[in-house]
Amino acid sequence: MTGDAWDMFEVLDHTADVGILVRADTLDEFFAEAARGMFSILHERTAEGEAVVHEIRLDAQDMETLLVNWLSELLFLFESRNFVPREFRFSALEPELLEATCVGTAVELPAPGTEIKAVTHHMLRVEYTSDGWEARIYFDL
Amino acid sequence: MKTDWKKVLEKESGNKYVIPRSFREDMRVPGIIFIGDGLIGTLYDDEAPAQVVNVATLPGIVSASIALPDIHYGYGFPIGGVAAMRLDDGVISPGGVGFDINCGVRLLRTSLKRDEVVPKAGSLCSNLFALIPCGVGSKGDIRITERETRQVLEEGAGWAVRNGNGWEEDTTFCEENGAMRGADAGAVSARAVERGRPQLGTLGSGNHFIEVQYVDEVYDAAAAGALGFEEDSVAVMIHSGSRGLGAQVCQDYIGAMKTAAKKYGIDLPDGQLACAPVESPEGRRYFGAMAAAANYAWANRQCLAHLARQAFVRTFKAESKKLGMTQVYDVAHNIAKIEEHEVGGRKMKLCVHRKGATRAFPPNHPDVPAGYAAVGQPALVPGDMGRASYVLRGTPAAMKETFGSICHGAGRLKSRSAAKRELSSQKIVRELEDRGIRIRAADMKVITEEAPEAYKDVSLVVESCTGAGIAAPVLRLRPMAVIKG
Repeated sequence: MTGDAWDMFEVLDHTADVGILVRADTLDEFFAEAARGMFSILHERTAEGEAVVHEIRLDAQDMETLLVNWLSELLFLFESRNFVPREFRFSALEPELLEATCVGTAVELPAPGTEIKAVTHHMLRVEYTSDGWEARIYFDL
Repeated sequence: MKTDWKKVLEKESGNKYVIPRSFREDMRVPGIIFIGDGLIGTLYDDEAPAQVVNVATLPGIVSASIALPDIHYGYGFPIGGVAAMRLDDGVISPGGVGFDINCGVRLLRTSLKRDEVVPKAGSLCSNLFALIPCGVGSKGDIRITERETRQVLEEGAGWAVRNGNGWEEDTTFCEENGAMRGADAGAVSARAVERGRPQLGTLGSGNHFIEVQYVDEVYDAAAAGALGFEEDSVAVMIHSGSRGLGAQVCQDYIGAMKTAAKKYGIDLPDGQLACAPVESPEGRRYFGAMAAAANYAWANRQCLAHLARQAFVRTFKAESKKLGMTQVYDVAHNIAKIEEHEVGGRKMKLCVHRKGATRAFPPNHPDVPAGYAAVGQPALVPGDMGRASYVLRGTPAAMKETFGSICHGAGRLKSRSAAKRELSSQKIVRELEDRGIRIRAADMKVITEEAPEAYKDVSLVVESCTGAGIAAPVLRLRPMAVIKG
């Protein structure tokens, strides 16, 4: 489980769209923070209400694809189930496999935010640097 | 390292610039950008020309990697780009279509005149806003099952009409008659269908809109007359696409195409250009899924048009047929099509990708509705919410130069966050109201993001096309009422 720090991502400019720069010490925090970054754009209200749990299991050919698939899955849950996550527990997280329990709420929609159509592979590279895990992720709006 | 495009772009003629093949050794064809003097400066320190170069490296590309004057930086392919590939050795790429498959524009005419609408613009705007679901996570009033969604994917706008959302003749005045051949609902994932089910008849958010407009200038009275317009005629313009369903199709197939590109040994300068041979099983499957998503988009715009007609009925207390709300045309501006074109004196079938580009076929082309044969295909070019939109028509020169394609809109100039930093929504609303434009938005933030200042001047974009001869101007429309998601 990760903490609730909200300062590990920043929003990036793109002519027509928007991106986030995500940095975190551990891979768990990195994936959780990427999700928080995306939801900071998508849904601007605090998600309060009865807890809803979604289990997610994904595999992918590489870490970049795994990250795109992870965020795409959460985007799908937002659009189809109104789901906004609060908390993430990862039981497996490797470059090619992810198993997570996401705890959150089903929110009222429409609500203020910016619609994200998709998570892109644009210039995407997940890197491990001396500062930890880092990636720039762009969204199609 | 950033390229100084001022040094690279060679002016070939009036509004036509070339990036020669010699610029980078992996280019298979040159890059060609149609853009006028008033806009060329916006490209010098932009990375969009590099995307034109990247597209020029794709297998089977014919003639040139083409960009139109509304070009701006996209993902993989630039927005405002056209790339035509041979069928035997060329590729098809989901990135060359974009996430919002068949994002497009529909135009309805009315028999109303500007002075009849002005006094009721406020209530018309409220009625449109009340009837048309928009904003983040909005769901439509049209409830369809999974089976019905799959029917929508096969039948397009015709499905919506058959189910009471429009008139028979609407599909006559629509690119592909509102249903693309080759659609394969079976190639669309369950995820995509689930995203699409609650969203039929929803506008979406961002740059999507519905506007009530009036004809403020006629450039070609005969062509305008053939489309049912004269000065001060009131029209309705709808800009929306395939919503979450199309985005999911694109997302699904970019993943599949990354694997396919490796399998077929295609070197990609950018992962977002992921592609597969047009005639490969992966290529055919994507084409079938994309065509199905395109059909969903046509059904969506059909439902939106029906809701817009209802808003007029409520406001003017008259039947929509009495209000003359027939359809002028509906164009796709994010799509890939199999079309026949003449290349080097030879007719050949090509896979034409248009990403942020509008098809504009000339007079007497077999794909232009009979009623418009003498005029050519109406090409609908929306501008920003404060300035203007245009109706142009296709020319023979466009067939020669751009595979029958022209610009799709104004093209963004400022990023959304820059627009939010620099502009105030209240001020924009006030300025628009001072100019007689009513606006309603699901979220005030969208008003700053979509402010006129965030876009290139659409008139310069249109002049770049007409100046290059690839389009002929018919008329200009000014907004009166704007609905934003």
